[in-house]
Amino acid sequence: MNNKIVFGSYVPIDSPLHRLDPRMKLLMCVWYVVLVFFANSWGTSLWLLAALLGAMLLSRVSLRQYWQGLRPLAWVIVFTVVFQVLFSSGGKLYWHWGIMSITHDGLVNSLIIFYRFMVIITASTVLTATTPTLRIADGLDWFMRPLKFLKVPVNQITLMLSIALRFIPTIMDEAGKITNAQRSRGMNFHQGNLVKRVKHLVPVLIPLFVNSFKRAEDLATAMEARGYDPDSPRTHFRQLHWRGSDTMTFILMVLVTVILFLIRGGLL
Amino acid sequence: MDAVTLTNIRFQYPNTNQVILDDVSLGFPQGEWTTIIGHNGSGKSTLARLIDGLLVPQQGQITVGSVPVTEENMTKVHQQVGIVFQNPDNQFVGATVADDVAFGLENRQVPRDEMQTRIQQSLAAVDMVELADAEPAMLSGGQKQRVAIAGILALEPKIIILDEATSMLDPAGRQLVLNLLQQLRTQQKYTIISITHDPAEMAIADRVVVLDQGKIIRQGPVAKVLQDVKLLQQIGVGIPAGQALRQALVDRGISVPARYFTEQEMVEWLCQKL
Repeated sequence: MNNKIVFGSYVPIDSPLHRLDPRMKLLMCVWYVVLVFFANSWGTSLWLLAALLGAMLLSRVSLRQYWQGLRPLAWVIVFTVVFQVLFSSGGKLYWHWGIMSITHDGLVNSLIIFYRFMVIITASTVLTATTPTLRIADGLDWFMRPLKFLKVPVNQITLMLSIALRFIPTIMDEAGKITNAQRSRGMNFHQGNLVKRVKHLVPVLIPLFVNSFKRAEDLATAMEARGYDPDSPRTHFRQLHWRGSDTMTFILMVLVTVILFLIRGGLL
Repeated sequence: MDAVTLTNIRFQYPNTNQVILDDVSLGFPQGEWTTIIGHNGSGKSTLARLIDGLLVPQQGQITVGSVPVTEENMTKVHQQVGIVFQNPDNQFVGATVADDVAFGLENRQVPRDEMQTRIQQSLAAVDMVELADAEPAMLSGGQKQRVAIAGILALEPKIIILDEATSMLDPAGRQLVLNLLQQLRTQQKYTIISITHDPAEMAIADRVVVLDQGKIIRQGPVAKVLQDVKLLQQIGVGIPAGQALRQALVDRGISVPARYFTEQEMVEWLCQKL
């Protein structure tokens, strides 16, 4: 497996942002995404960008690591932006060829989309780089609790989520083993065109699926033997602790929002 | 007093013709370590699952402690019986070692404060305290099995079943797990039932039960059952080292007393002869 930082992976260091309660970070991330859609001018956009940069600095994760996390998504962003530039109309026309044209509004729109894409992805990377996935799951569990009254099986969903997360490395490991086993029988995964390469994945995926089902069955038996009953209540070992710094962050978040709307309203 | 008794158990998986266990009656003495040996498919693992109520027999009755294994008593049965399964990965539920030990406690609605101490104690018992926050991907097979045992100890069961729990481990990992079990035996709190093909594991038990084609063909103290090298060869399990050496000497025409030798006893006997 490669050791590159990929989009969404946790960076295990210590920083003020790492120490925050996952609930606060989740709330912050979601709230930020909402705010981004309220940014309508240079001022508001720059203000939100500054807030994001502040968070990135507080996370002590280097900009290079963030860039490495973003890079795999660069193509998607570039494609969307180019599409916006070429296929939206309105305003002054600069260039056109067939159905493609570059217009003033198209350029503005694509700039806005580019900005939104970049900050939203970076903001969620800040969340995932500073919070282990399991803690995010814990935070989600807390936010989903009210759904219990609507008979949503919140406990089962979170347990499912945490088991899924726990088995990712196990299954990755297994995929590696199967790939090597197929390679040792003469399979070349790096040959042929796209269709052929995809076809080559079939003899890896089938044993992987079969084994996963076996694992699931074993795991279900083991869980039952340890007294798991999906319908009865359970206590929780992992607890979330809301600290003073979380309240501080919340206040900061409110401040960022207020200032954003002041700029938007032309009062600043 | 038997910790577990099986009376006239008959079991067959649905939609198959093969009878896995055929009229089996068996008792597991309190506080002793019993190994079950036999061919693959002789019904050993099925037996373990029946005791814990994970499977239901077509006929016969099982009691654990004084509790009959039935649908209504399932919670009580699960509280008394802990099983360590074969594959270290497929029974690791938690995202970290401590989380995994906590899983059973959470199911039993143990309050969090008590959970902390119980997790600490059981991890200490298997010597895994330093790795409490480790993720399963960072652990070896032997370490994972020790965590599985800790998860069971935390639940304070009376009976511990090991279903080929050491078969996927390397020799060092296997030895660590076996040492741990020997320690647990000296506490005399647990009745241990281990299913195995490993000669070292059967040799350290107190009793051996031999299953073949769904029937018990032999049972008794280790020294008595393992003495029968022919039987061991017939059911295709490994022969403990002392016994293998004795047989090799006998085959070369040297007269060796017809009794069971552990490795240590064999060494002593040879020293006397020299």
